[in-house]
Amino acid sequence: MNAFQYLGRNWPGVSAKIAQHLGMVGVAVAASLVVGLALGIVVSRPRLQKVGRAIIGITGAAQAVPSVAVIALMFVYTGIGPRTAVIALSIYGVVPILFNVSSALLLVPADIREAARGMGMTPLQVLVRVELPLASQSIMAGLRTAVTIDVSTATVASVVGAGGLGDIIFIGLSVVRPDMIMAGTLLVASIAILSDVLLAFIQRSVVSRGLSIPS
Amino acid sequence: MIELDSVTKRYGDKTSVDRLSLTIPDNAITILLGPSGCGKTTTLKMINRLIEPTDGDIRIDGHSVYGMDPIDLRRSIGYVIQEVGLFPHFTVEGNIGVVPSLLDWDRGRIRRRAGELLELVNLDPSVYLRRYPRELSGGERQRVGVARALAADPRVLLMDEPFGAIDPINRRSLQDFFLRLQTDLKRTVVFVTHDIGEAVKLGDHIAIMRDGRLVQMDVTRALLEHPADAFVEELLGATRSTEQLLLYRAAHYVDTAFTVMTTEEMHRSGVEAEAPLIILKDGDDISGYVEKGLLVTCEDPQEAVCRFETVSGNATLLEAVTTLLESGRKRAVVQGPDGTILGTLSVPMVAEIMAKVAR
Amino acid sequence: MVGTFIAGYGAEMLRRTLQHISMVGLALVLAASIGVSLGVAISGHDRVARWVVGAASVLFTVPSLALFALLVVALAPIRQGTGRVPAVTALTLYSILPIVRNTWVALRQVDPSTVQAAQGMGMTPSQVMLRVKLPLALPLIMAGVRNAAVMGVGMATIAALIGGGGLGYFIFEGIARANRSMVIAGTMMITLLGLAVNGGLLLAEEAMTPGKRRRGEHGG
Ligand SMILES: Nc1ncnc2c1ncn2[C@@H]1O[C@H](COP(=O)(O)OP(=O)(O)OP(=O)(O)O)[C@@H](O)[C@H]1O
Ligand SMILES: [Mg+2]
Repeated sequence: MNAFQYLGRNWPGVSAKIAQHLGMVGVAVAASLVVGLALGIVVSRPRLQKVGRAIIGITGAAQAVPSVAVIALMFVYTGIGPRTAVIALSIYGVVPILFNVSSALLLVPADIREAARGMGMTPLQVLVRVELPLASQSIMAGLRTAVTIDVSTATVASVVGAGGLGDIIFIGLSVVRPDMIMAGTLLVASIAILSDVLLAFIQRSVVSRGLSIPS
Repeated sequence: MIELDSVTKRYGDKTSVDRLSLTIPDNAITILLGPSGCGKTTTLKMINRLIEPTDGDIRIDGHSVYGMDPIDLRRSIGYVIQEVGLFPHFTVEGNIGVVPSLLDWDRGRIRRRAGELLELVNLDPSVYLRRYPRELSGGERQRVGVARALAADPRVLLMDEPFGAIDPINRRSLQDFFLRLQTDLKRTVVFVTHDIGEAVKLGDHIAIMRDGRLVQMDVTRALLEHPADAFVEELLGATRSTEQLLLYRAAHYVDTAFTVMTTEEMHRSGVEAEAPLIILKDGDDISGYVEKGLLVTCEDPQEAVCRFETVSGNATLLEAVTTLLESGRKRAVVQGPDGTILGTLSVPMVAEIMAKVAR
Repeated sequence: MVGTFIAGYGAEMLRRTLQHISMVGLALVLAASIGVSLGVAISGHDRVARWVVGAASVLFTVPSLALFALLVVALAPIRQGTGRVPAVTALTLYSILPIVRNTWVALRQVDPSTVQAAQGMGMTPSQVMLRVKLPLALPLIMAGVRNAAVMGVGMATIAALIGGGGLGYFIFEGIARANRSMVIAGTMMITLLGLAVNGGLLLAEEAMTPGKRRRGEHGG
């Protein structure tokens, strides 16, 4: 039996796994994005720049911590189940987003902010109309990193009983069923690639053409 | 009218601006000039409240800016700063439209206004509206910067070294352009620079600052002729006399000792040695001049006829001198707008004029 | 609790740590040789380069477990389906991207006038590459190697699931047995290893950047 036959025959079960996988990643990414963006904005305010730089240092180093370590640690606290995976992914996903948001916002030139203020923008308008658009390239890059990592780590999260497409691969590995292994592999790989392509597309449309570096 | 009333700004125990009192007249360009760090930028930013002073008051048309909402105040004042200024993520249209959009103009009106302003600053709207700042040259960016500051038709413009980052040739043409613009618009402009040439060229009034204090403020020409103290004199320095050449119109300094005759008349009359300079004019055509005293030494009178340059009476002395030096001719004939001969100028004459004003 | 675990399993931990390091190290050496050569080969051929880097980026997004599993299936016919071979192969494949991309970008950034100066002194193309371009590109290439190494430490953990050994054993075995101390001990080791590799290579990178501050990494 090949992977496609396997998928055809077990579609209801497989589609449930896809839904689980996407759900896990979706919730975690949304949480990471909200937290990362909010924290990044707060720590990049001029008064908190010292904190901001510290955060950049910490999150820069924290990206060297393997994602599996966070899942494992979360398992110690919350045991088996999808909750463990979602919490771990949310925490882990904050790191690249927060790193990118805070470093990009801190890089917005002070005189650009001042020009915006000088023209009569309120602080909120400066943030929304100037700072965030200028940081958008980097924010989107952080988001893409988080999504790629989450899709990948969610597969491994099957070992803490999180469900998702990892289940298919693990069962395939343990009962030596190449068709299952291939089917699972094909699906997660497609999800990973498609979501990254989709985000690349969004990135293109969100980031102003005036900011892209001609290559 | 903008009045600064004993304005002081202190950072810790450093006083950046020290009891500065200054009245900036309406509809004219007032230059803030002084060495680096003397507090020019600080002063400018206090006017639109980007910086709050430690002490003193600033009034626009009699109303204290501290009685106004800073956001509203800034939207009503045009602000141009060196180099950056433009938002890289907005198109030219977006940049010009910043303040109008903050004031909730509708899109059509913003677009029309942006087109209008681009034409005003000599950029073709159909080409430039959709461009991004990185797709513009330095000079074009500065023009857009000026257009942006004018977007909501502010009466007051604050300009902080707006042409500072531009090469000398482009800077010159931007200055010319800005002067022509101001002739039509007549805004109240506060213009910061530490380029004396720029100050003299653009300023109706110049205020000279040092260590946060006002040293002298006067009409440009008066300030050049009567520097208040050694500091001002030194600041104006060596450039001073050359800069004055920029201010003085050729028409006012010509040598009027000349007679006009046709070539034929000259040949016929046999000019005496004592006659003043003779300009040969046949119909509308000026063909040359004959220096006083030259004719007697010549066998053939025609050989004594010198070629010359013509200069408009509205030209500055600097332009006249430059024309002469470049052509290698000894004299320029200065003509009025209708072609009448106002007189002649030579390099030694200009040197003499300069020596006189330098006293 | 964790202390007693480490006391009891100290030797085992050391063994698996070394296993982990050797797996990552081997993959890194392979990836660096392939990546730098590939980067050099494609430099100067912009279209090919974009394709190669693009393909490597796509491969890079493929979840690690999926790639491991894929190799298990693919290598089964030659009886290498489990163990270190698929693990090292997968790690190598992943590590190539950051290295090849950084090599390519770094070579492109070399100032053309420097290259011309070298040519003007009579250097052959390969001398220009070896004596001028590559040394100038080194800091950025090292940044790519560091990225690859850090990522490799994390991915090698997953190799335990396909019999590749390494520190992942403690984590997955600990989870399976619900042995918290084992999980915590494994997590601690893997975290420390990740941070140490990152820090160590960061220092190496700075040491190789003469006079200048580190340039930005070209992360996606
Ligand atoms: N935020 C600040 N904190 C402390 N000192 C400041 C601050 N801003 C300005 N100063 C000081 O105040 C003085 C005046 O600064 P300002 O920027 O107004 O000078 P400037 O005349 O515009 O100089 P330049 O021609 O170089 O632009 C300088 O000595 C400067 O160091
Ligand atoms: Mg200044």
